[in-house]
Amino acid sequence: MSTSRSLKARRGPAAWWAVSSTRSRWTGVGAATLVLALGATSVFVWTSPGNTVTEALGTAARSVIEAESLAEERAAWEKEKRTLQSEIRVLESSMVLSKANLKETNAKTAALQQALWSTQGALTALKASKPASTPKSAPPAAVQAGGAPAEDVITAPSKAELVNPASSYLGLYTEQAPFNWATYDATASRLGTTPSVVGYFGGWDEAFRANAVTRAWERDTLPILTWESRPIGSANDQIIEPDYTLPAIIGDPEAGVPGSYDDYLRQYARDIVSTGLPMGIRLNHEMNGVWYPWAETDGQGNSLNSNRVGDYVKMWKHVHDIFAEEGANDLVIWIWSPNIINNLPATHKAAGFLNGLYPGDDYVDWVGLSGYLRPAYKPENDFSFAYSFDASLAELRRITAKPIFLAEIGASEIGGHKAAWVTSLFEALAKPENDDIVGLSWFNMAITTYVEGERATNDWRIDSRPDSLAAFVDGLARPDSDFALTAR
Amino acid sequence: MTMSGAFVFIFLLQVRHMIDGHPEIYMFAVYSALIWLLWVLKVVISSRYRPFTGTFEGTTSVVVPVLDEPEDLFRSVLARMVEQKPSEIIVVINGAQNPTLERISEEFSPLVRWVHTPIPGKRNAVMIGTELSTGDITVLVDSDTVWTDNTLSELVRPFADPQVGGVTTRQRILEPERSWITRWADWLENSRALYSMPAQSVMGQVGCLPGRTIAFRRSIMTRVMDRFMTQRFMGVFMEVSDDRTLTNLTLQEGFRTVYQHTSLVYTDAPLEVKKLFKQQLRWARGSQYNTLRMLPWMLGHAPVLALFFIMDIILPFLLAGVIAGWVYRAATGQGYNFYEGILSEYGVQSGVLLVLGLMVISSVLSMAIRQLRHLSEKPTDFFRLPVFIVVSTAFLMPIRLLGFFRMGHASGWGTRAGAYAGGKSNDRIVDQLGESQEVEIEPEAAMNHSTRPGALLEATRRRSMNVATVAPQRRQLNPKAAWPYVIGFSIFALEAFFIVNFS
Repeated sequence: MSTSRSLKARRGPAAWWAVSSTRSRWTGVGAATLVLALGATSVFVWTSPGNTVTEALGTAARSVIEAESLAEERAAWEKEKRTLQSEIRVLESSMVLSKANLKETNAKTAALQQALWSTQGALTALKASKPASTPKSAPPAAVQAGGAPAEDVITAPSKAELVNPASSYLGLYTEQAPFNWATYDATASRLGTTPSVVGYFGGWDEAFRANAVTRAWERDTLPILTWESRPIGSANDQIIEPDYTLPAIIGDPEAGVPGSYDDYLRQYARDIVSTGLPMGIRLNHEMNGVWYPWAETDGQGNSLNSNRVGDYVKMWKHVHDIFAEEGANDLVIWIWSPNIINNLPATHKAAGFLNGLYPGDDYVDWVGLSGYLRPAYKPENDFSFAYSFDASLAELRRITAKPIFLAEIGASEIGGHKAAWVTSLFEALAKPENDDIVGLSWFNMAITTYVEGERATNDWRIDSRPDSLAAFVDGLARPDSDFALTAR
Repeated sequence: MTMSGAFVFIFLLQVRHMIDGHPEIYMFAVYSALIWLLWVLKVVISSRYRPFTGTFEGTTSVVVPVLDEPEDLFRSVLARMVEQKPSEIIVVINGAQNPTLERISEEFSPLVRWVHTPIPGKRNAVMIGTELSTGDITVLVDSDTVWTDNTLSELVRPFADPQVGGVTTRQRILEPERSWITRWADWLENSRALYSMPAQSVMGQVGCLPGRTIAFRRSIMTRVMDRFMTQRFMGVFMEVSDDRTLTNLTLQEGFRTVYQHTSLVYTDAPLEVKKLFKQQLRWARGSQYNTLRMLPWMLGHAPVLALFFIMDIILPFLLAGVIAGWVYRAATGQGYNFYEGILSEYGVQSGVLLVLGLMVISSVLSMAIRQLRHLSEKPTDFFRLPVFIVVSTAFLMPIRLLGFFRMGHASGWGTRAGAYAGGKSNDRIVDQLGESQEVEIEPEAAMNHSTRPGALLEATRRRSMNVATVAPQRRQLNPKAAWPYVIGFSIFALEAFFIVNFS
C-alpha cells in the first residue's frame, strides 16, 4: 500500500517526501495556514494583558514626546526671555537718560525758584514802600507764602490764603491761556503788569488737564476753570443736551441710582488731588440764565433740558460731595457764579430767585458774577458799574457773606462807552462797600454772537481801543486800588 | 525532535519577560530555541535530499539472524525476500535450536540456507552470517521485518556510488492502527525518516543505519568484524546497538552511509507500555553510549552529526532543568507569574481556560509545523498532536535521561544473556533470559547441534568455542559506569545553581 505511494512520489514532480504532487501543494497551503495561525497566536500572547514590554515602550514613548514638547516650550520661553531682556535693557538705558534729563530739569527748576524768590522779595519791598498811601491797612503779603515746601517743583499758596487774598485778583480770559501764554502775555505787557488769575473753559467730555494748573502755577497764577456740564465743542446757544441733563448728573441717590458722570467726576477729582495744586472751579456758571443746559426753567416756568426746579443745587452738591470724598476740596475754590440779573426774564431777575439756585455756604467758597456792558443797551443803562452790578451784588450779599469774584466781565466797544465803564469799574472797586469783592477776571476776547436776534461782534478785549486800554491801566494804577501790580 | 513539547506560548512569555531586564536566563527559552534551530537545520539540509537512482550490478547476500519468530510471520518474511531474488539468503538461528525455523528455511531452499549457533546474540549471528556470505553486498535483516515490493532493488541503488558503504531503508510500523502505541511508534519512525535521516544522508553521514534492514559492502564488514566483536568503551562491551556500531565503523573506514527513502520495510512494535519502555530505554542507552564513544571522531569528521547527537543528550537535561525550575519557583513563590496579566484581565476561571487553550494551540501549531511532512501523509494525525506531544515529552524524556545514567550498566553487564537483553529483537526471549540471568550453554551440545544432519551451514567451531568460553563471567562493579552519573549529576547541579541564583 505505502509502497505504491512511495513509487508515485518518486516519479512525480512532488517533493521527495510527499506522497503526491497534489498532496505536496496542499501541504504548502497547510504550512502557510499553520505559520499564520502560530503568528497570530504569538501576537495575541505578546500583546496579552500585563505586557510590561509594551507598557515600558509606551511609557518611554510618552516621556520622549513629553520631553520634546517640553523642549519646544522651553525654547519658546527662552526666546521670550531674550526678547524681554533686550526690552529691559532698552528701558533701562532710556531710564538712565530720563534720570539725567530729570536732574537737569531739577537744576533748572531750582534756578527758576531762586529767581522767583528774588522777584517776590523785590515785590515785597515794593509793596512795603507804598502802604501809607493805601486806605486799606491790610499789609500786602506774598500771595504764595503758603505751606508748600520749597523743594516742590511748582509751589502755590494754600486754598485758605487764596480764598481770602491780601490783594485783589486780576484775571484774564485770553485765547489758549494757560496752554499758550502769547495773547495773555501781550495783554499783560500792555497793561504793564502781570495778572494773577488765568481763566479758561472746560467741558465734561474732557479729562482733567493737569498742565493747565501746573502751567498757571509755574507763573504764580491762580487757574480758574469754568467747568461746563456739556461737551466743550457745543455751540453757545445750544440749550438742549439730552446726555447732560441735571437729573442724569444727579442720578437718583434714594433709589441707589448713581449719576451718569460719577466715575468721570471721581476721576477728575483724583487727578486734581494727584496734581496737588489749588485751582478755582466755576461750575455751571450763569445758572440763573436761560441759555445753558443746566438752567432749570425758562422765563415761562417751563423746564429746560428736562431739568427740574431744585436740580441745580442737587447737581452742585452731588459734584461737591464726590470731590469731598476724593479729598479734592482742599484744593478747589468753588465759585458759584450767576449772571447779572439786569437782562434776565422777569421771573429770573425777581428778588429771591437766586436763593433757589444757591447750594449753601458749605458748598461754596466764592460767589461770582458774569457781567458785561453788552449791546443792545436799555434806555436806563447809564454805562456805569452801578447799573451793571449793584442789583446783582445786592442779591448776592443778601444770600451770603462769601467773598465775591467778578468772574467774567467785559465791555463792548459798541456805543463808545467802554472807557467810561472801565473807569467806573475801578472807581467802584475802590469803594469800601465793595471790599468783599476779591477781584475780577476779564473776558479778553472778541466774539460774534446773536444778541437779541441781531448778529453782532463785540470786542471785549482790554486793548480793543487805546482809550479803553488807558482807562484800564489808569484804573489799576489808582492809589486806592488794591490790585497788586508787578513791573513788566 | 518529536520529543520536544516546546510550548511557543510559554516561550514567548518568557522571552517577553527576559526583555524586561530580568537576569534569569530561562532554560526553557533556550530549550525551545534549540528545538527550532535543529528543526530548521534539518529542514534546510534535507531539502537537498533526493532518493538514489543509480543502478548497482553486484551480488547481494541477505543475512537473517533469528532467535525465535512466529511461524507464519517468519515464513512471510522469508517469502517476501525470496521474491526479490537476492543472490543468497542465510538464516542464522542462534541460541536454542529451533526446528520450526529450520523447516521453514528449508522450504525456500536452495536460495535460503540456515545455520545454527548455540551462542545467543545478534552480533555473533551477524558475524557468522557475514563470514558465510559471498555477495558483494551483505544485507542484514531482522527476522520480524517485512519487506515491500522493490525493497531490495531500491536498497542497493546507492551502491552504484563506490563511496557508499552502507545503506538503510525507510521503516514503518506494520498496521499502525492497532493501538495508540503502534500509531505513536509509526509516527516516530516516520518523523525520523522525513527529517533526521535524509538530512544526515545528504551529508553522507547517517549516524545510525537502523538494523531492521541494512546493507553494507561485505568487504567493509570483513575488515571491521574484529573491532565489531571486541571493542569496548567505558569499560563495557555493549552487545546492543550492533547497527550503530557497524555504522560507526563504516564511517570510520571512510565510506558514506546513506538513506534510501524509496526502500520501505515494515516492522512490529511493542503492544504494551512496559515493553515499549524497555525498548526505548535500550535504544536510549545504546544511542547515547555510542554518541559518547564516537564523539571525538564525530567532532573531527562529522560536526553536524555530532551536533544532532549531542542535542539528543542535552535537551532532556535542559527540559529536566526547566521542570525543576518551575517546581522550585512554585515551591518558594519567587517566580514571575507570566500568566498574571491574562488571569487578572479575564478572571481566574476563564483566564485559566484561556491560558490552557493558548498553551495547547501554540504547542499544537508549532509541533504541526515541525511535523508537516508527516501530516502531509496523514493529515488526521493533526488531531492527535496534543497526545503525541504529551507522550513524546512525558514518556521519552525521562527514558532518555535514565538511559544516559545507566549507559555504563549494559543491563546484565558481563553476561551474554544480559548483553543480549540490550538487543532489540524478540522481547519474549529477552524477558525469559532476563529472568534466568544466565544461560549456560554446553559447548558439546552446541557442537552437536551445529553438526546435526540437515544443517546447511555450520559455524566454525573455533568461533563457537571462543565465544562460549568467555561467556560465563560473574557480575561485578564497573567503576567506569560511574562516569555518566558524574556527568549527569554535574549538569543537574549546574542547573540547580542557575535556578536558585537567577530565579
